[in-house]
Amino acid sequence: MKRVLVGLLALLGLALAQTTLRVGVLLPLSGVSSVSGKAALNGIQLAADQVNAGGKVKLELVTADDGTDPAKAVPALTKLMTVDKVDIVIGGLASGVTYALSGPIKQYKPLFLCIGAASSVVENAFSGYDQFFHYHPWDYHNVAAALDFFKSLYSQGARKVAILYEDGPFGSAGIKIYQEQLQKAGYAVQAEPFKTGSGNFTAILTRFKAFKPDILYWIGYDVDALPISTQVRQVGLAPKLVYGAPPSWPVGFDKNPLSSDVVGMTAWLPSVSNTESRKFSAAYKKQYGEITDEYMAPMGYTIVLSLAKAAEAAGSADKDKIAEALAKVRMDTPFGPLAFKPSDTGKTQYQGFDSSIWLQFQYLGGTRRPVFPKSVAARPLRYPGSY
Amino acid sequence: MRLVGLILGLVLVFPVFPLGRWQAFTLDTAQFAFIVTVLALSWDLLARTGQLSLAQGAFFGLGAYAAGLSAPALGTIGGLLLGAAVAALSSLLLGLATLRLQGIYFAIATLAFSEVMRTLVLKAEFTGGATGLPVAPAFGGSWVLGGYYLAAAVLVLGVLTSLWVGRSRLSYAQAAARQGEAVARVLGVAVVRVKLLSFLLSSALAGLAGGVYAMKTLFLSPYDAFGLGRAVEALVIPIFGGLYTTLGPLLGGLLLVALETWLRLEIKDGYLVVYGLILILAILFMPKGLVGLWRARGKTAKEDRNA
Repeated sequence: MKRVLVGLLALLGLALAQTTLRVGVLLPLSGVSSVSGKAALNGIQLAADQVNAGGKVKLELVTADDGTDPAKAVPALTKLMTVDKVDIVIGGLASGVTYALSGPIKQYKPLFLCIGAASSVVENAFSGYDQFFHYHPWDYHNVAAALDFFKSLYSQGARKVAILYEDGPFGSAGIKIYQEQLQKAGYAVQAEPFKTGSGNFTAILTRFKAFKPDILYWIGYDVDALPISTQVRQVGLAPKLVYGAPPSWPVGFDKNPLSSDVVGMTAWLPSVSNTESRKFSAAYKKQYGEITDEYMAPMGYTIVLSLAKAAEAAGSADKDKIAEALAKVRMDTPFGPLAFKPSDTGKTQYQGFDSSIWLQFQYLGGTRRPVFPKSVAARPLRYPGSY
Repeated sequence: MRLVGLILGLVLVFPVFPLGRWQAFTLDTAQFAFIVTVLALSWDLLARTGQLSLAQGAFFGLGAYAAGLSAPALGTIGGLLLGAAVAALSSLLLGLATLRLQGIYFAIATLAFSEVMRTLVLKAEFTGGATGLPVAPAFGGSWVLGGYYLAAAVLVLGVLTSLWVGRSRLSYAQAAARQGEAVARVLGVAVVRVKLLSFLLSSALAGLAGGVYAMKTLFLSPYDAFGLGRAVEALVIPIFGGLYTTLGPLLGGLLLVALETWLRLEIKDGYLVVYGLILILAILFMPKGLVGLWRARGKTAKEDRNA
C-alpha cells in the first residue's frame, strides 16, 4: 500500500513538474509552398514526439493550414489565438503570407517562432515586436552566401555569368541586387527573365551563346530544372558551371544523368556530418521510413527543440518567461550552433541563423555532395563541369 | 428580395451575435467572404450581357494596388474610391477595344489583359514589383470593427447595384444582348453601349473589393492580387448560386466560403478534393444553381396548392 502511494505521489510530482505548452502550427499545407510546409510539419511533429517522450515538457500541437494565401492565413491565425487559445505560434513560411500575419500577430501578441519568410519586407514588418524569433536567414544572408561562392569561382577564372530568372516574385525579387553584387565582384552579367513551367528555354539559351558565359545561373522552380539541363546541352551552350537556385529540386533529379555536375544552394543535406544532423536523419528515417532532402524539415525540428529547451529552462508555460529563456538558448542543431542575436540591420531582436548555414552542393554520382565552403565540403567542386 | 434583405440585415448585426470564442475567427472569415461575394456579384453584372470575363482578377488587383498606394494620401475611403475609379477606367479602355468580341474570343482577350496587368505591376518599381507592397489597415487600424464594416458596406453596395441593374431598363437590354445580339440590335438596343456600361459597373465593384482586400491583408503581391484563381472564383460562385440574379452570387459566395472554411477545419489535408467534388455535383445536379432549386421548389409548392 505504501509503495503504491509513493508511486502515485511520484507520478503526481512528475505531472506537476511537467510544463505543458499548447502550440499553434500555421504552415502552408496546400498551395504553392505546400512541399516545404509539409516537410516542416514532419520535422515539427518528430521533435514534438521526442520532447513528449522526454517527459519534462509536454507539447500539444494545434495545426492549421495557411493555404499559402493571406485570405486563408489571417482567419486561421485568428482561430488559433481566439478559439484554440494558443500563446505560441510556429509558422510564417512564405514571405507574403507572413507579412499579412504581422497585423494580427501584433494584435494578439503570441510568441511567434518564424520558420521561413526570408524577405526583408517581413523584417521591417516585425521591427519592434519583441516576441518575434526568426530562425531562417534573411534574404541578404542568402545573397551573401551565394556571392561568397561566386567570388571563389572568380578566383578559379570565371568572369561571365548568364542569369536566367523566373519572372515571378521568387525569381525577380532579388535579381537587381544579385546583378549589382556580381558586377561589383568583377563579373560581366547578362540576365534574361523566363516564365516558370514554360519548358522552352532554347531561344534564351541561344541568345546566351553569343555571350559565352562561364556560369549559367538559373533562379526558378523544380519544374524548370530538367528542361534547362536538357536544353543547355541541346543548344551547345557549354558553360563551365550550371548553378540552380529553386526552392526545392524535382524528386528523382539526382538519379537523372542530366543532373550531373549541376550546383545548387541549400541550408542542409542529410550528408552534413554533424552529430545533430545525423541524429535528425536517423530519427526522421525511423519515424517516416525515408530520408528527406527538404531543409524545412530540420528547421521545424530545430524550432521545437529550442522551444522545449526554453520552456524547460523557464520552468513555466508563461510565454514571456519562455521568450526570455529562448533568447538565451545555446544549442547545437542540424544546421550548426544556434544562438539568437539582433538581426544585421538591427530591426528585429532575435535572429537565429545567418549566411553561415548555407552550403553549396553539386550533383556528383547521383547524390548531392557539399562542395563549398571548404569547412563542409565532402568533395572538391568539379569545375569546369561537363554539361 | 426578402431573403436578400434578411441576409444583409444579418451581415450588419453579425458582430453582436454571441459567438463566444469563435467570434474573432468568424468575423475575419466573414470579411473575406464579403469581398469574394462582391467580386462574384461584379462578374455576374457583366455575365448578364452574355460576356464571359476573365479580367475580374485584374480589376480586383488594380483596385487593390491603387487603393494601397493612394490610401496614405487620400485616406481609407478616398483610396477605395480611387481604386474603383482606376479599375473602371481600365475596363473602359479594355471594353472599347474588345467588347465587340463575343464568347471565347472575349474571354481570351480579358485573360490576356489580366496577364499584361500582372506583368506591368510586377515590373513597375512604384508598385513594389516582385517584392510586394505593404498596405496600411483601414482607418489606420484605430477602429476594431472598421475592417468588418468596410467589407460589409461594400457588400451592401454590391447588392444594391446588382438589384438596381436587375430592376432597371438596362436588365432588359442585357437580357436581349445575351439571348441574341443581332436580334437585340434590330430591336434598337445599343448592344456595345449596354455591354460597356455593364463592364464599367462590374469593374468598379471588383476594384472596390480589391481595395478592401488590400486593407485587410496589409500586403499585396502581383501573383496574389492578379491571380487567375480569383477570376475563376468570381465565376464559379454565381454559377453555384444562380446566374443573372442578385441572390445567387450573394448566397453562393457566403455559402461557398463557409463550406470551404468548414471543410478545411474538419478534413485539413485534402479538403480541396471534397470541395471540388461538391462543386462538380452542384453544377451537374443544379444547373440553375441554388436559386434555380429554390424557384423550382416554390413552383412545385404553388402547383400542389392549386391542384
